[in-house]
Amino acid sequence: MAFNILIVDDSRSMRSVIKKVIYMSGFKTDQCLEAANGREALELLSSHWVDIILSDINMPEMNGFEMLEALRKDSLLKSIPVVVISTEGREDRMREAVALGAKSFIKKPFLPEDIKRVLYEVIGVGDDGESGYDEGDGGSLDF
Amino acid sequence: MENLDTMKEMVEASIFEVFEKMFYLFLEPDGVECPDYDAEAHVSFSGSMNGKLRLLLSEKATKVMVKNMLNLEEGDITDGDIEDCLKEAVNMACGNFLAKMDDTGRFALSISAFLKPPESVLCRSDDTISLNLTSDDGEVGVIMQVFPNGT
Repeated sequence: MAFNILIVDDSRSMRSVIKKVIYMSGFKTDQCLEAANGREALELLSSHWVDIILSDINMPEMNGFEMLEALRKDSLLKSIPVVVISTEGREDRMREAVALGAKSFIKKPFLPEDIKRVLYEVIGVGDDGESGYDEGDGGSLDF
Repeated sequence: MENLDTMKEMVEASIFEVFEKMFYLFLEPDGVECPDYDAEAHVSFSGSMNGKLRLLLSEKATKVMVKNMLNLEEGDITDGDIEDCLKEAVNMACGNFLAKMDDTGRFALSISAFLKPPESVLCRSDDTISLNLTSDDGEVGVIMQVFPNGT
């Protein structure tokens, strides 16, 4: 099974790096969509279904927290697991993200292995490529 | 607030971590003051302390960073790539520094900005941390100003 992924970050370079890491990790992807902020992400999600969202926090127009809130209010979109990838690695920010529905948190700067590990944990795919993903059981963080 | 020596160590550690992990650029303390820099990216922060972090880069360091981060050939690097990479670098360095300084504090980061050529480098004062870092792949300058709360 291949997955659709949405990368949300105002840095084109960072989106490119994350995309490259995902491809190199062997994670099976169908579409890898990109958005430069939360508003663009929500627009994309109105016409595309994705299996996981990787999102920055500090972005212009609509930041990551505002996007998480908007997703949580949407009966359909709230089931999409969101992984926050941000420089804001302080514990209170992670708690805030988790409280808004984020499934996991990766701190920038990251190693390629960090993204690979979290992707596999959150979406629940084994090394054999078989999906074990079960909605609502996506490797939640406990603080 | 931590004293400037402690903060300087944390700024240096934060910069080293970001440059090594994201740009494969291995920096060392240099001691050479204010070489000519080609470009600058800066970001401001506010919270339990307020300040501004500036990264200044030589042309060589800039190109190597972009090349390494985006896996591009030097001839394929655009001005947009340079601006984007440098803004992301200062954003990561500042976030990393603030997390090291005060893991429980709440800080707001501004959207990072890019300048080519950079603003004046000379800004020595009691509230300024200045680092001149070097590598085989060029020079990186760091200037961090910390302002009293409420300014």
